[in-house]
Amino acid sequence: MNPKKTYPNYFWFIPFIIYTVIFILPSVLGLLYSFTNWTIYSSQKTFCGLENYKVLLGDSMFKSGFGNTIAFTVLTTICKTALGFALALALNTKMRTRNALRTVFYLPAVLSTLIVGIIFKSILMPNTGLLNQLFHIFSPALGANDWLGQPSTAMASVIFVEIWRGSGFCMIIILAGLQSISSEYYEAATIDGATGWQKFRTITLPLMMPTLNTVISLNVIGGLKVFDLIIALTKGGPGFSTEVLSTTVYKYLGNGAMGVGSAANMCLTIFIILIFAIVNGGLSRMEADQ
Amino acid sequence: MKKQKRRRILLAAVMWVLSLLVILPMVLVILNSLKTPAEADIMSMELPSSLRWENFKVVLIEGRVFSSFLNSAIITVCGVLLSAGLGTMAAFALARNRSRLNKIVHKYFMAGLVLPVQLISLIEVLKGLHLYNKYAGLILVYVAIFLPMTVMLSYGAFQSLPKEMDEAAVVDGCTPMRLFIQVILPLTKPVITTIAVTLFMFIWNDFQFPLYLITDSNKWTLVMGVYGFMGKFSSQWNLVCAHILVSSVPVIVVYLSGQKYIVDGMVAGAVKG
Repeated sequence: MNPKKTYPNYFWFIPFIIYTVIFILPSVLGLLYSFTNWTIYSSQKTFCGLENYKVLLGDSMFKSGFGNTIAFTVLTTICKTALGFALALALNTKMRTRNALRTVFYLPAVLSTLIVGIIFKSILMPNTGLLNQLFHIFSPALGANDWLGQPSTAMASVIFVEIWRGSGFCMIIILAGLQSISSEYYEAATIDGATGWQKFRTITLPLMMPTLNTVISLNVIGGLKVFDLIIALTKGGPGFSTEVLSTTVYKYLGNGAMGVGSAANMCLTIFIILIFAIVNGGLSRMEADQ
Repeated sequence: MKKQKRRRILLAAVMWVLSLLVILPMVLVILNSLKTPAEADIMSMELPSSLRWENFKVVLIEGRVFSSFLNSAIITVCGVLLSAGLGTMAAFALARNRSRLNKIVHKYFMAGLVLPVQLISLIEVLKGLHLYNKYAGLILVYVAIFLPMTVMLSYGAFQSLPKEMDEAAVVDGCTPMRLFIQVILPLTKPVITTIAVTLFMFIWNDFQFPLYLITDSNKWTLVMGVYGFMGKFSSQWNLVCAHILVSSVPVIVVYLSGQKYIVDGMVAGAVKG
């Protein structure tokens, strides 16, 4: 049997072309555009070196976007993974209605992120939102907060919504990991008289490292790319307090500064590749150590 | 034993109380979608005084939900079929014929798992191809960005099938295309379903690409429609809630019917492009 005949190259050729033209070509062009002074006012794209990147470094919107992206990614990744782990441990024990509970906790991940954002925009409204109605019962002062409208609470609120949205997703992946651990380990540990915490530390945690690696990588990449949620909740405001890298790209495009926008998008790309390499490398090493 | 049983019931009770955090926002949307504008002004958990089904009628006409629904359906169905079809075909050839060229192509596809899309230059490319602001353009974008995920998920499944089967089929005079469609696809149905359901959820729920690539509001998808509607009727939460419900029901139905497959797909490494 001739493999070239049985598995012809034309099987991958069409997707290869689509992928190259629609995904890779824009990446290459984006890099080139980021070195041009292309704006909506001049169709000419003339080379201007690192000018756009200098503009970004001096732009307070981009600077807050950069910082906020890091804060958002780190905090949501830690909280979602921890909460997902806790939920998965709880829903891995035998109990009634376990499957129904799993479905309910996963449901937020099924909804469109934009729609989740809009739902929470209503819940976080200053006077009439559900959250403030609840707080009002305990303390009228707390219940008067404009959670998304104040620079001091806006980012925290966005992070909270993302944790609400994403913890169930983490839970499902971690649950699958937990189920793949053979129960023999736990039985042997029980015979040896290990406590629950000892079993968790010496069996569950080390064997879960590959799964946690996947969960953390997914959350980090997703967090760095966050866009829909911010647009739905705050559009980056108030001021630049919830601006992230992908919303700055959208805004530069909206202002007609395509060159600068391309540079901002390029920064996001480089940043994602760097972080991915670091996270993946670090976690794989931890796996090996265990 | 009795003590353990009591503990389990207690844990289940605690989990159900916690699940209220997830359930309450959804109930809030359902309740308010049936209220009058004045009642929905305060988004409360109170029951509506009377069930206003007209809200859904208003949304269907003013929010043009019906036409957005069709747009979403066309884009999602075409996107899922094309992405899944082309991606699994490619993965099959790459997994089976591991020549040097094919290994390089496989690595090249996998790069897309991490890379974000350069949106501004993507618009330029689509404009150059006369595909900007068109369904076909958006669908091709989905094919391109979900190709890495589709290939990754199906590659392993194809590798684990015994090669002898292909040989038997080829000896019997099977063409490559028939081998793939009639022999291989049926044997990898669970993975294919996982891919299809996952793609359905991603494409149906997507917001960023239609926002950048579709400027004509007649071509908006449901999720884009919710966003536009929100801008227009931001004070009328009853209508916004009705719109949200209409837009979310299809994806929830697909999720509930394909639930057991989704989990596998997510686990295998749902790395969204």
